[in-house]
Amino acid sequence: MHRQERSSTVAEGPALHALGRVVAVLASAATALAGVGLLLSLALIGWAVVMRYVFNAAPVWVDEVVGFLLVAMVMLAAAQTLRRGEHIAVDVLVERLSARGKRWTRVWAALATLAITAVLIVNGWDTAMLARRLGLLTEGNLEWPTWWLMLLIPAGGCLLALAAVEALWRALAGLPPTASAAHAEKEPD
Amino acid sequence: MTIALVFLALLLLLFTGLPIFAGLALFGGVLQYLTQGELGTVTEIIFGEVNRYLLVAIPLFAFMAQVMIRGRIVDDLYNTSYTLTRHLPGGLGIATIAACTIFAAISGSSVATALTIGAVAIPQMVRYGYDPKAAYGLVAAGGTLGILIPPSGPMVLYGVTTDTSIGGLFMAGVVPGLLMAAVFAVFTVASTAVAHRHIRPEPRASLREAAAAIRKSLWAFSLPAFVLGGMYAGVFTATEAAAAGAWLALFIAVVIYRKMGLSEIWAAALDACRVSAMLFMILAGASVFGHVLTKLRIPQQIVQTVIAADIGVTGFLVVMMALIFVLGMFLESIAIILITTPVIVPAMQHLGIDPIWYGVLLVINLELAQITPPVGMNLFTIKAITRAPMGQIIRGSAPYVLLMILVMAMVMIWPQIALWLPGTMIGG
Repeated sequence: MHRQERSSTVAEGPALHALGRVVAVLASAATALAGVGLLLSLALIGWAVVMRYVFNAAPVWVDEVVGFLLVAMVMLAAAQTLRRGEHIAVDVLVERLSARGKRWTRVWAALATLAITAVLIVNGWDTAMLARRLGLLTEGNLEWPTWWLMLLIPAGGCLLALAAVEALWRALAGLPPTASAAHAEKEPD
Repeated sequence: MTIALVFLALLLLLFTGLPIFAGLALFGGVLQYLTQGELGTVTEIIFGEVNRYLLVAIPLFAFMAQVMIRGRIVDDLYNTSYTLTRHLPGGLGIATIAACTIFAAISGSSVATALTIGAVAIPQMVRYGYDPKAAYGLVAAGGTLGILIPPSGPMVLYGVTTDTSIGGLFMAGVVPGLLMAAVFAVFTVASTAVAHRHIRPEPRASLREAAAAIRKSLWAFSLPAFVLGGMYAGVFTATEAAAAGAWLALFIAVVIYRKMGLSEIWAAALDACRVSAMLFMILAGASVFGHVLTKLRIPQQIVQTVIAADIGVTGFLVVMMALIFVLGMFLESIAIILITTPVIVPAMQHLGIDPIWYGVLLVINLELAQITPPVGMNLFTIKAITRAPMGQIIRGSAPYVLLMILVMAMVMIWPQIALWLPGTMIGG
């Protein structure tokens, strides 16, 4: 659990402010899509239960679709979760560091996240394209082309990369994380 | 030696404060590159690990709990519990445990249980003259029942990781969960008799009063009965039970209580999505880490170590529980499940350990992790609610650490405490 830093007196430059707004809009829109995915999963599973017990005609494809929707939910909501500081970290040692030390750990955390997003984007894209070339289909009843489902990984990676760049920039500029800044639009949990 | 070095290096990396998912993926990725010379199709592994129908239960249970909280359906729970227990010594404490137990059967999360019940119970207990320290400890510990009493997010993850029946695991958590609640209640009565002699029990509620209180919370009681009863009777799978429970929660909040509009439903859905993103990104990172450990044949090395040490089932369980207890002081419970479980499954199979039994022991240990410093999520939760000094919260929770170890030892000695109920399941 991250303890939020005191608000910095350093002002956001126009470039960082613009990046922040873009990331906020994209991350919120992606999370909204994830929310739709969750409600759709709820509707589909509820419908499948009714079909099985009432009409004795269980749709066989629902299990597959909600699995894909789960991947979409996770990849689409991961960036907003990062902006809100909700990805869990072990900060028992970091908490004991000076303000300068904490700032550099934030830089390190953002760089590490960026490295992961680079793998998600490059490796995810390559894997999707390989699946496309090979004409791979999903296992099960649907037999959808795998490659466009695999694209969820690099797409989520891009969103997460933008949020990580913003986090890195804010840390380098001595600004508090978006989770504690006024424009994070943090809702009460 | 290799195993110890790998895990030590991972722990050191995680202590640098980077998100756990990034730490696991980075460590696994670097190890993969150093040992295999390439990253391979790591994203395919991540996709395959998250794309599982069974895991959909987690966001749906999170959504169900959010609906119950935002719809204020659980608010009556505490008053009902207190009306029924107020005549007993330590009645308010028992009411707090009872409310935690019932809410645990709704939420599947320790933090949500401690947060929701604590916000109501702690001020009330302090107002009635309880030592604040005792109130903090009771709610921190009572909240941990959230992951032992089903539904339970950690149990779903453990079940998927070990290919164990999630319905069976859920049922196996019921008796140990109730036993734990009973042990907490006995301790509360005893400690109230000793330390809070000045608190006089209130008059017993009349039958009419008790009936009215129960009627008020009937809908809150109906949800766990519906979800768990459906799974026990073999009507629902875990994922279906989560969806059916979420629909019932929506019906109660929107139609019966009329306390939830579209904006609240939407907020609950977004909240459940972010919790899921946090959990499953750790799962994604752990899948990369687990993949490379398998390539390095570390699970097989553990089996060989177990055979060479000849420690038997009890020795293995004691060593594992001690290790997880230590990890629990520093790591979050989801990370502990995903880091430790895949590597020890072959050793468990070799020793013939029932995965449901081990799962319950693991979850009790993860409950301990929520209240053992320096990193204990429920300790942080109580701190967030009360702003009390952390030392006071830790001292208040200390007796419960011992009580939980006692219950864990009981389940270790008598596995039937956990295994009896799943054995009676229809189709189980």
